[in-house]
Amino acid sequence: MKALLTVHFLKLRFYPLFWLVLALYAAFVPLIFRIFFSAELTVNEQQLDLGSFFALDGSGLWHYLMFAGSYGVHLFVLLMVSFTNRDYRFGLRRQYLLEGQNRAGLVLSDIALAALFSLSAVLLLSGATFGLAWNRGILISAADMSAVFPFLLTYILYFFVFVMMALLVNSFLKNTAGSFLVVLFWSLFIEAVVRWIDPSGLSDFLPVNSLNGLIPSPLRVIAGGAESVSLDAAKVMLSLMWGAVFAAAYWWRTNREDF
Amino acid sequence: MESVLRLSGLTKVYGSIRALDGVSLEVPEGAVFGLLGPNGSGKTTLLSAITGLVHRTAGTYAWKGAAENQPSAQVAAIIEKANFLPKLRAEEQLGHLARLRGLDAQKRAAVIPQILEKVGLSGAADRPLRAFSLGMKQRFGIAALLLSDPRVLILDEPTNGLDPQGIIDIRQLIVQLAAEGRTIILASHLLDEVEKVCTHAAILKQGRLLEVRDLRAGSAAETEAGLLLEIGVPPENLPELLRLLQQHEAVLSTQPAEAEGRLQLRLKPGTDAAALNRYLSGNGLYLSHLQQVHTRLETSFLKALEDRP
Ligand SMILES: Nc1ncnc2c1ncn2[C@@H]1O[C@H](COP(=O)(O)OP(=O)(O)OP(=O)(O)O)[C@@H](O)[C@H]1O
Ligand SMILES: [Mg+2]
Repeated sequence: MKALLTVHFLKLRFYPLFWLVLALYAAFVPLIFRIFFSAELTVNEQQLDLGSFFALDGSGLWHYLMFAGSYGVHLFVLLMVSFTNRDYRFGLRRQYLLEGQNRAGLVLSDIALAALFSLSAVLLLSGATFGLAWNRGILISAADMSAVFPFLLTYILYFFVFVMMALLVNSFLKNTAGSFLVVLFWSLFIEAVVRWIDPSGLSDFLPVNSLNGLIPSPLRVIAGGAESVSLDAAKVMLSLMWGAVFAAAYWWRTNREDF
Repeated sequence: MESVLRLSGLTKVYGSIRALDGVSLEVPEGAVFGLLGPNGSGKTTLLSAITGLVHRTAGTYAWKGAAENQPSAQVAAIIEKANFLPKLRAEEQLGHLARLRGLDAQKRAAVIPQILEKVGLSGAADRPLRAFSLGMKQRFGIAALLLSDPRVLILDEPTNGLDPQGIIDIRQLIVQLAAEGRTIILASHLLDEVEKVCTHAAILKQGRLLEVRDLRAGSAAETEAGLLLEIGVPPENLPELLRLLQQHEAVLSTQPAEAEGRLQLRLKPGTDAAALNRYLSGNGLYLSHLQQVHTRLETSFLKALEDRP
């Protein structure tokens, strides 16, 4: 598994989409920030200048960026799916099996990559946060950092579960655009529609709704809907469970596959 | 001879297609074992099954020194298309595969140039694989196989798409690798190729094994079975010939050959053609034709090609 992960890294070095996604994501976070802060939003029929309304202390800024940055997960979904499919397209995974690797190794190295992508997402986001804080003269104190720390962990989890979901979808579709669009539409519309038409409330346990609990929206604080951003422990547990389910299903699927 | 691979009733079903249908065979150690069959006869499927790429539907395979139905670390294989990243330089790609084979940096640095040399690609080590010609790609594939110094090499259509010189080069390489004592399993739909380089041939048709043939001249199989001769007399002497042959205890079987007045017959092991000729002439019958029939693959292969779907 370790050798396989090393080989994946060696390939990523020369994979343009890898660098493109990292660059886009790093640029995306401050960009969203700018757009939001220069915009005037109408909330509850009130004109709101978000910049002045939202208390921008160190942790506030971080929460704000995490919320904005969470939409960037789709970039990493695209990266992971496209990287995996390139392996399939050139028969590399087939050859890795012939070189003495096993299917478990393939799955574990994918899981490790998904985790590392998630970690790099949170690191890039934190970098952007420090950059913007410095740029705007906002102080990030040690207290801010420890207050935000649990949210950084759930941010990693959010990315990881999303990417695992994409890997699972792709293990059936084996198509980059297809898998990307399925995950995108599912997370933006389809699951919301399912929850809307489902009277039982069971659909609240669906993955994207659970995952959304990991990234509390600072807008609700702005709009006066909540006192402060907070994590929903039940949704954290559910997200962990979904992560495990996706990983297990991906494992099952890869084990049964003919190469 | 000990066998390196034993298949027993190996079967693979894709939906409604029986890509492999109860194939049982043994590959002797040191053999150059040809898998011969028309397109779609199951060659690639067989190679994929014994290397663990596809799951068996039924039956078993066992490599020497490995657990039943488990691929062996002693085996290196390239199956179907070249499985490499076109962007990578040749030595880089070999480096990746060597890592997966567990070679450390020092070993990699020593082995990779040596192997490229062996397959005649030293000059192309730093060129990307997409800039390789078909023949270079095939040779590169063989280089990749040699990284772990395997006891068994599996090649799927190694001369596919090559020009005559390319074919000769690859064949020489195969013969050389076999001479080093490696067992080689080679799939091909080219009769000629299998006859030229292989010591054994298995003929597949629609997933079924038609026969396995030992191709070595004077092979155990041949000596065991006894000589196969085609003899001829003027047509009017044929009844007399048959009568004499029936009385001769060394003649195991006779059957009419294609040409008029000719017979094919099999002699008891250990009897030679001259003794038979002496017996017949001693009885006043002179042969107009006497020839040993070589057990060529052609007929079996043509049979496999017949009534294809
Ligand atoms: N993944 C698959 N799904 C469905 N059917 C398959 C699959 N792979 C192979 N087959 C079928 O199995 C049969 C055997 O195919 P296989 O590739 O083993 O033949 P082959 O002898 O290698 O042919 P060729 O000389 O063309 O390489 C064919 O009928 C093929 O269509
Ligand atoms: Mg084939």
